[in-house]
Amino acid sequence: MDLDHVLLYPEGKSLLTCIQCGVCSATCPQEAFMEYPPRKIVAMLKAGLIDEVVQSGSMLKCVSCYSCQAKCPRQIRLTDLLFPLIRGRMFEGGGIPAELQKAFLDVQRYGNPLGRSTSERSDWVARSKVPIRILADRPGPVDLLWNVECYPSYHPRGQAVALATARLFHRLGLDFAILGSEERCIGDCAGYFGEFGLLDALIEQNLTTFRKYDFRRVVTSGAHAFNVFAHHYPGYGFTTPVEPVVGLIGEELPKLRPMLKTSVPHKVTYHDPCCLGRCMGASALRCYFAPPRKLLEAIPGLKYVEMAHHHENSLCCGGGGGGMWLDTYYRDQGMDRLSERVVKEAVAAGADVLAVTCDYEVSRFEDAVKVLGYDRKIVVRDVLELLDESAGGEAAV
Amino acid sequence: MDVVVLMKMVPDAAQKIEVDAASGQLKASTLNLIPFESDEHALEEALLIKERTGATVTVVTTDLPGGDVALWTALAKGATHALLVTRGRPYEPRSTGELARIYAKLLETIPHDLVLTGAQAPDDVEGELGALLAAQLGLPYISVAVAVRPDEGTHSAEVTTELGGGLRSVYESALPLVVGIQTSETPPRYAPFLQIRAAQRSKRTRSVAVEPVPFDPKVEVVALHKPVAGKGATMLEGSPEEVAGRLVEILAEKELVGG
Ligand code: SF4
Ligand code: SF4
Repeated sequence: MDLDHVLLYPEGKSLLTCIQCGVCSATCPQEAFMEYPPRKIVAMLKAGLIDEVVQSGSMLKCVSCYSCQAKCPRQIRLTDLLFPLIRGRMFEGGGIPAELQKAFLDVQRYGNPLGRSTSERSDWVARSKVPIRILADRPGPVDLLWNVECYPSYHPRGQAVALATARLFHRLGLDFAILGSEERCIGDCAGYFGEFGLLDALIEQNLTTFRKYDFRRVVTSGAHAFNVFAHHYPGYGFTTPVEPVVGLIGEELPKLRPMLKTSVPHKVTYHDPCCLGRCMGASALRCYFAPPRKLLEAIPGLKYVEMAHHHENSLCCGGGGGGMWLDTYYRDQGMDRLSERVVKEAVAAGADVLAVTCDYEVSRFEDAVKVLGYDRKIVVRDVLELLDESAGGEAAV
Repeated sequence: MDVVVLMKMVPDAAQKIEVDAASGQLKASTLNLIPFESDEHALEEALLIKERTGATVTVVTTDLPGGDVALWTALAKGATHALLVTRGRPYEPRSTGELARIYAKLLETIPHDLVLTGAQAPDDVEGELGALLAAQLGLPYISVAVAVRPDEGTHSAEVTTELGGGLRSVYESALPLVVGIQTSETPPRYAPFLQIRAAQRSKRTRSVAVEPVPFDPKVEVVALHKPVAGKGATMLEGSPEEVAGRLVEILAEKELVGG
């Protein structure tokens, strides 16, 4: 499907049912900075003003948060279909900021947007106190294929979360393995920014790798890869069940609970990532609002507090749809960083820990904490890190 | 207007590169070759010229691993023609002089008003390629350029170069001309994956065999090794106030700030 012919397809035809109610624009966290907010864009596309929409750059500011799509009374597929199509058109005429282009080029070349060597993808494993099986070294059947993802593989803070995850899997006696240097980006930013050729190539490459091994289920670290697994991989015939780590650990809570002995005496709030919550709801799939909260509440000494925006109304961290690589562009445009808004809300709720489950968020929110000068007020931890700490951390494996 | 872009494939520094102890050369199995950044800028500058003047852009590289992908990518970005020079030789980091001769020979057979190449490359830190090539062809050469504006009417070009310290100089030269590009006027564009694939399928890249050129390298690679970490650094420890205080003392001791 392309933008010129969008109205010929059933998914695109839904555009014609728009009643111009403006709910999409009203709920959009970036609306104030868009020349054409979502409602206007729909009207313009219906009127054939495609080039004007593409050239305005308004869609560069969309962070694929799914607010508009989740709330549209006509269930028009704005976030996951229409807006990526518009952005895909931007590749033809330039206008895509260099930092985002670099991320795409790095994904093309190295299978990760950080521009790091494929051979270094599993370097973090050497620091693990618990055994982590790499399938290329030890093939053979395994229950869980753990898709570690790019940030947990390469980013220092992500690696800390990956190590905590491995310890939890080990404590729970799960039979798991990783792909190591064979693992590649699942395709989040490519899919949501409209680089469909790259998404297609990544899916084909990943499925070729998956076919080499014998596993029953996939568990994936963060929210974005899970979203792509849920929405794009079935179309390529991939039907193996996929769970986000926080969902899997949530199911294992009865087994984990007796191990949570160390008190974590903090006031903790939780940020619902768009791609495990609202986004799933918009697609009539299972949302993951409850598991992280249940897990946090199982930690002794921890007091849970809710932020003003939560569940389907949670504020986006601003990292989706390519936003992760547009911070400089956003600053040049004089835009607020959404991650700073979330951190302010967390502090206002009285929390001294902001808990997350999305692979982009630890680093995004930690940056925001530093920019705001809130270092002494709040820290950012992954839910899995808090669970691991309560289970005794590295000393207890 | 015919613009020719010469692109060089160099080891990707993001991948772990190893030196083979026995031969003292880079280990071929650890090398992933990609077009050098300045050459990507040369291509971008050529594409900008094409957009402004309707020039024909011919991209050339040698048949090293990855050279074909570099050419498909260049076509996907908008280059008119793509040539793969076959010489059937493995990667050699010391053959800039030979490469200049090969390109000089090739250019005898293709029209060129402007020849753009990266100002430098990791295996050509002195930026010899453009200069040697220009000498071979008897053409003028300008390097470290940040903008090239050819004029078909007067058959000349205005070239802006970077002098350092924020200074720029502007040259005017007759064409044909060889230019070493430092950076393009806008960052190199991104080629969407589908278009790279389409360029691959279009079979628009052409191979040209260039006869081996007799070349006697005057420079020999004696040894290759990773940079050795220096010992000069002193780590300051303590509270931010203590560290800042100590830093001021050191700067004053070295008379870098007033005491
Ligand atoms: S919310 Fe849906 S129906 Fe309402 S204006 Fe937006 S796209 Fe149209
Ligand atoms: S997905 Fe979010 S950021 Fe994008 S237009 Fe919709 S509400 Fe705005």
